[in-house]
Amino acid sequence: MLARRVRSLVVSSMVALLTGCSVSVSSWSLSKSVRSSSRSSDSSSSSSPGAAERAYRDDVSDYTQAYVKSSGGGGDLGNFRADLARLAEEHGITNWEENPSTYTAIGEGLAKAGVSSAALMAYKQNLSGGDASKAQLIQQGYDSGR
Amino acid sequence: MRRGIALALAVAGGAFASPPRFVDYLYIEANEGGSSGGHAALRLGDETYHFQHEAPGVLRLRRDGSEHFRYAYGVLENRTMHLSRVAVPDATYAELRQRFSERYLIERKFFAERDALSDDRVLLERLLAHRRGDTEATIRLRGAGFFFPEDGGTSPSAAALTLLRRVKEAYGADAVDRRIEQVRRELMRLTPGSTDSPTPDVPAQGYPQFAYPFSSRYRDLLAALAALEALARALPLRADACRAAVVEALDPVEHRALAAFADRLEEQLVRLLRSERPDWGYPFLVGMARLAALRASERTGRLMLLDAFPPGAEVVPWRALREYRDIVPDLLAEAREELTRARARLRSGVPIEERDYADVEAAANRLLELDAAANGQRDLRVSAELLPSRDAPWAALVLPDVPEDELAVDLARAKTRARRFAAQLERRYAYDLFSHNCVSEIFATVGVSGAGLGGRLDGRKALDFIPFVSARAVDRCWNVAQRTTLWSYRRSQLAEMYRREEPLHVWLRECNTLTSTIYRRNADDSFFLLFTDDAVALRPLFGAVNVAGALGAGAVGFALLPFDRGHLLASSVRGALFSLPELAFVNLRKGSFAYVRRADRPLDASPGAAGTPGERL
Repeated sequence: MLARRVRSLVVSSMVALLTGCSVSVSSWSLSKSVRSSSRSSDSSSSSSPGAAERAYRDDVSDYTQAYVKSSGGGGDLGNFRADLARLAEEHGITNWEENPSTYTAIGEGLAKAGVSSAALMAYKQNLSGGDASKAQLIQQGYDSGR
Repeated sequence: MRRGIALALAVAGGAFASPPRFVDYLYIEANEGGSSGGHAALRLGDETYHFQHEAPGVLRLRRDGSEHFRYAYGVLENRTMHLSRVAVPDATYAELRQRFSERYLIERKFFAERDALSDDRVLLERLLAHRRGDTEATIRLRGAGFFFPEDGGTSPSAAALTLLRRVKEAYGADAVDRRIEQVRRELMRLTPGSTDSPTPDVPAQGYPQFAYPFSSRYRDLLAALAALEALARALPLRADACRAAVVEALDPVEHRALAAFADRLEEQLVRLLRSERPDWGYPFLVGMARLAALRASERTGRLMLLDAFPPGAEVVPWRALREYRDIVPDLLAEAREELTRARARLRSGVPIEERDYADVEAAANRLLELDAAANGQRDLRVSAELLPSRDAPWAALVLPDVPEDELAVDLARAKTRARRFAAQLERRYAYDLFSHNCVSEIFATVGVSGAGLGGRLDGRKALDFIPFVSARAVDRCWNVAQRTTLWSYRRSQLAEMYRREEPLHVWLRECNTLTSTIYRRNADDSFFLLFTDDAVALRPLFGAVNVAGALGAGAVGFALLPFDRGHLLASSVRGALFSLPELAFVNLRKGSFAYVRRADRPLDASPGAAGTPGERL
């Protein structure tokens, strides 16, 4: 009886010790003092040129696809814009409306989500704010994403 | 040293219509503490996805730059990685990337909603306090800290005056006043009930569609009001919000690049004022602050910068930094190098965009902060990501047009909603060592796309939930074309030493923490004497020495209890515990590093490394 208890205590201690999936270094703080942790910075010592741009475009495109698929095309654009803003900030961009890649990537995401030409027109109109060049970028992204 | 069990990269010529893409399964060896069971990750090009066990007992999907992941786990955490590479067609790769990316975005949205619901509660508490006459009740407003609270006696900003003039030219002389009125009316009309909904559910799949939270709407409008007020009064930057970079003056090319960017930024800010974005206030505040800094750079010929550290940034206390004073010159050199890289964009002749400027701003802030901490002997702020977001307390709260009782009811509802949603989320993402861990979730997310990788794996079956075992399962079931070992920092340094010096001498010197020249005591590591990662046969013996050593240190720690606040005792107890598995040949004691000089870091020669070939991590 006692032996079984001791054994189970030892086994549970070993299991408790061997838990995983966390980081053990909390003080990599010193390294944070000189470098960023993301791939969204081209100035990072070993990022390949254009990696930051690609990362942003991928994220916006994936987000658009996920959002449109889940909303069935009827989502609130205010919400869409707010989430897009948070995403852009992770890439060092506060004014995403002035970044041409945003619109190309939205077009790509719309294509991947399989929206119809009619729905595309509506998105172009609502997201471009009447700016023909932005609508054109969405169209370009859509065409390249198909 | 790199031991690659390289199998032939068996890619049949006709199997892929286009060149194959690579998916890498990474098994990361254990270290002490929360990582003592090992870890697993999936690398897709320059992105690495992994599930991390975090407080309060949830498992979160994290996405890191692959180069950063290798540095954090392989160098700082000193953990050897085993990489199993599968070549897949483009379509499979795209589907896998999409699955992980979508899951990441969905999770991010859930946790943002949890925070927003919690913020609803905080905001309603403040509004209620205000309604009850507590005029001291404030909320922190992101971005407002560059202009508010105002410095006394400063004259209007020339940059803001020019911007104001351009806004008036574009939209009319009373445009700003009209916008202020409009935002104020919207704020008064905004009631908690207008976005009221029962506790939102955590949907089983798909990107969640939640109502825009009351607190987010309120903060967005208040930030817009702050931005308009700063513009209307052409407020200058607060004196402590802008600093000169500690680098050489701008050269003429850089000067022109920044001036051109400032001109474009000015135009963009004029347009932003009419944006349909609900949250335009924050980017306007940051843009206006940057514009002032840029114009100051133009005027002085020096790089002038906003303070880009986020509110509540992590701090390395001066006394901790002092212990590393010998490496401060290296930190400064690396920070300077990062800034030089970022500044190169200014000299490229191509018009810079916001992100290019943000890179310069972040790198210069890091350098400035390090320099100030080292020379001023003060605490060091650190942050993995930098984006100007300095906040300010805002007391001029606009009260919603609802009676006090109604606000109190809204507050009670908000509390319930926040609590229930957080509980749902904790259940949904609860960490479980056996069934919901870093392995099981990789396999679950791969799911049916696994067909392109080989056989389907389930991390909840047999012992596959253990990272070490899962790597074997991957090698067995997936179409692994290449296996590579990426040695930990200490092991790769040792290999170098064995090549250059007399091996026995190296072994004797480097096998222990007292005489090792590679390792220096890291406060994160519990007490141990002997490294056991490269001593397989002797591991139980070394483990016994480590246990005995830790117990001895514990006795000393007990005596020192009144003097060191129990640090040595706690470290010794943990040390003894984490040395026990070594008696059964399980290695944990390998040590970790707070920082490694760039010149000492291994070359990132892993297959498909994201960076420039030959670059150090």
